Amino acid sequence: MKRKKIFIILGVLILLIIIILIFQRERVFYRIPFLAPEENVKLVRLYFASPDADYLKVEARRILREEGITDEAKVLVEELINGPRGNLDPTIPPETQLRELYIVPEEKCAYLDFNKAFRANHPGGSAGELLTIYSLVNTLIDNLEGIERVQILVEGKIIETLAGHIDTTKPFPRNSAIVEY
Amino acid sequence: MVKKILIGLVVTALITLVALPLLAQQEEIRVIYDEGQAQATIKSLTFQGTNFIYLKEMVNLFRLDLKWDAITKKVTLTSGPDQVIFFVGSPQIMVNDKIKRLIQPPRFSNGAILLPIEFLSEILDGVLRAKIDWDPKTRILKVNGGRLNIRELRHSSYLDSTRIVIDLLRPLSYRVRKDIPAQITIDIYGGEGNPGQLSLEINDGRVKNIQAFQLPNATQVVVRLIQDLPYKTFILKNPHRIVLDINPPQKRLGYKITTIVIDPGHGGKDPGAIGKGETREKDVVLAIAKELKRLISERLGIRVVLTRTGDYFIPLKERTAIANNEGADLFISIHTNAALGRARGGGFETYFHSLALTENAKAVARFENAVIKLEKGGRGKSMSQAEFILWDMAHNTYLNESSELAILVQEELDKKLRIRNRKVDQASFYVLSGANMPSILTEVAFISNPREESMLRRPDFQKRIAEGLYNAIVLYKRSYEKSMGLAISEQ
Ligand SMILES: [Zn+2]
Repeated sequence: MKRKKIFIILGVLILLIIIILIFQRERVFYRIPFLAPEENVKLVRLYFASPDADYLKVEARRILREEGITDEAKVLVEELINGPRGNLDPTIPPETQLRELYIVPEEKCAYLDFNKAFRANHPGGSAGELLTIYSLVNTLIDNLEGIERVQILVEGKIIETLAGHIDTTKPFPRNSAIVEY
Repeated sequence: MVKKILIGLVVTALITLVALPLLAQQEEIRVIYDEGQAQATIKSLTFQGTNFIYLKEMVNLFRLDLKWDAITKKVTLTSGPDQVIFFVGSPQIMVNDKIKRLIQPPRFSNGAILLPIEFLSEILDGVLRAKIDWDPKTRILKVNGGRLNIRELRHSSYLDSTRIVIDLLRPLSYRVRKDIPAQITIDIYGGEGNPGQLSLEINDGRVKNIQAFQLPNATQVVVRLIQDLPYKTFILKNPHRIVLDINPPQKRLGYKITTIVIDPGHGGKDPGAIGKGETREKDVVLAIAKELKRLISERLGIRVVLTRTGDYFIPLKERTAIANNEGADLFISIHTNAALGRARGGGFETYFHSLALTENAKAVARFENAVIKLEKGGRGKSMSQAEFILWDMAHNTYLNESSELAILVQEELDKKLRIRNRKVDQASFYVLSGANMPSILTEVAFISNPREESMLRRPDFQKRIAEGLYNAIVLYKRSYEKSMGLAISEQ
């Protein structure tokens, strides 16, 4: 008899926990991942691919605050290369290395110089290229003050395309059409 | 003992459950536009008696551009030329350089940014120019009138042609009619404009004037001409705008599609994308291109040139050069798509070339404005009018035709393929940038998706793709040659 009671109470408890979890989930769903940053931590918006490769979506991540804008930009690119932690998909081949990154404030432009693997290991395709390019472009422009354009280089040189499609000879401005909030 | 612990747990759980909704009560707000012409629902939270809405929802609802700076907690919202800036936690907001004050500041809750509902009226007032009524009892937010989605009317007169640009806040469908002599009527459905601002006296020898009328469900823009002249219209994205060219640069008269260049992507040292099963893009697209060539030459009797007929490398620049040298009337580049990730994409999509990439397009709009200023006597190191026309022709002349072809290709592939129909989109393609003719690039399936890769290997699937492309070309040819015929008979 006493056992039965305990089971009923346990059952009610589990039910309650499930309800609370569902409630929390809904709240998480409506969350924009913006939080007030702590002292040495900066919350950044990283753009990764949606699972169907249709759009870029934001994954919020805490990174250690860097001294200058160039170092901060480098960390952002490294985080993109490291790939998403949530349920989004990567946009940059994991073998990619950032050789150099420099910012020309007068041009409001960040120049990203990657190694050969960035191209050699790229999956190709127009969708793949667009996701790669704009995950870099939108991430840098959204998280750094004073950057409006991003130029991609490979082995120190301007390249025509990543894998035969999108024109990479000029700096890219931000693209909001490819983003789904 | 066990019982006590259990009761304690139950009580804690109950308190949590009851307290959560109390902390922030979640409800819904109904948004009604223009006396019920459109509706939407947004979530709201109540803190200390004030209704808050989610920034994210508001941004989506009104299609604003959002920029966020995590360090300063600065939020920048943009809509066309208008801008709203505020800091989370501060009651002051800046609407187009004017400072306004809110009773309750925007705040964080559970990681999201919340705005007091009065913010809506500030935004709509400053940016969307609407009248807004908030009824806390019925929880209905009425957005009425003044929801101006047609911003401005501009024009530029050139030596032989006149360009009229209608700036929109968001994409709107439109129809162009010519049922009265020397008059072109553009009906913009769902348009809301200020007729006074959308009327102009031009008198440049071609266009007399433009007059706008606001109808219940459309804005009508009437362009009165001195005499009947050929015209064309097309749309540009971000900022969205409808462009009407009066007496545009003439193409060859009696235009017929006589040569089509088909470009199988990649080749030789460039295999293109490679599937998990080692299927190579360059092989698949060559097979499709050859089949398409066979269909066109046999059934339409049109000359078809392939940029490559075997497995060898051709630089991207050379591919359009071939099309230009052959005097091609259409350029169709065939590819298979790829992406990183677990599912590795899926479906087919078709692109047409455009420099007008979102923010780039803003530069285009700025550029157009600069040229207008130049024409009004301003000086500077901007391009000359001739340079502008060249530039404009290079980038916009075939935009309408290319987008039409892209839409047809996507529709016809949809009838033939049972994979996902992604979209028609614009992007700046290296291979399309030098084409002197309508051109598209179609990604017929994802070779990086194992299921679609195995489809792409099958000759019957390749054939279905070629048939879809063929059908699109037939429809395009029919509609294009017909519309050209009309343009000629009007003269
Ligand atoms: Zn390709």
